[in-house]
Amino acid sequence: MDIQLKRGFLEACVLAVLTKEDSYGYRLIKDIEPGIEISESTLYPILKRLESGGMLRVYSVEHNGRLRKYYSITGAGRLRLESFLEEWKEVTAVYNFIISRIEEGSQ
Amino acid sequence: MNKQAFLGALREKLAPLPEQEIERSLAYYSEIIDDRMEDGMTEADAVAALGDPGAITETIMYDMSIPALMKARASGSRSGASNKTLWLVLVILGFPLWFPLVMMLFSVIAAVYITVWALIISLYAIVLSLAAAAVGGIAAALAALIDMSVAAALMTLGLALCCGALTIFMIKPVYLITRALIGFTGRVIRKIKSLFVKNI
Repeated sequence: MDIQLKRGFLEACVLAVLTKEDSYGYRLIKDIEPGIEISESTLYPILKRLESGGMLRVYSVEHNGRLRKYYSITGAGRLRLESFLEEWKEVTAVYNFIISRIEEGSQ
Repeated sequence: MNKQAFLGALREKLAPLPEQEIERSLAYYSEIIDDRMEDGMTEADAVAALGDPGAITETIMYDMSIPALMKARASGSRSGASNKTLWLVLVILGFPLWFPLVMMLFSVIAAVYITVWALIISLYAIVLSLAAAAVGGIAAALAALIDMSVAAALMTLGLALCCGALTIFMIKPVYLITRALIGFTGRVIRKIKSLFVKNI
């Protein structure tokens, strides 16, 4: 997959998972894994970018004597997610069109 | 490799970056290792699953701005030099060589941005002028109807509507071209960044 494209997907996946509840790094990866290939090192810059873009809020919670960073989605994050969905609705329509033409052609 | 050794190796690789960035990355990876171990993994497995510190550093660097990368690169080579004074002398003597190179790099980046934005602005200017022509044309048609012939008024109206139609047809392609151009800039910037990120 194109690197810019994948980056956009990963951002949307993180935001989407956070719409349910706040989460932390390791759990985010486990929640996103079923949908798209993701590793710790790819998640890190995504979280950083989303945070600096104001789409995430970060706070620390003590857990087993250490600090764990929790991420929570902001209003700007929800807006970003909406525009992502809007955009991909169009892409899906084009994809379906292409598939239907190919199927017609092979009949 | 255990957690301590992994974090130590990562710190070493990240050394040229700003201290705040190093602390932040180390805290993130340390948290992940702890969470993996809590989930039942052994320390060695938890560390091994993270991959190589060099690759991790590359991912972090690709996400930094170009000036920040250049700074990191410069401080990285400085810490490698055994003699600080020698390094300083080389920087000063090498000025005629590196200064034009740095300027060239920034000129290339500026040229890419200016070209892309000029293209985008001109595309929108076309759309806007067509829209203005449509609105103006309809007004002119009304005026022509009052003090000129009906034929002239109809012709003006027809042309105005053509402009309006072109405006509507162009909005979508212009939007798509803009997106493609922005994507293109992203790829160019990434290529330039790879000059600094590679061979860490």
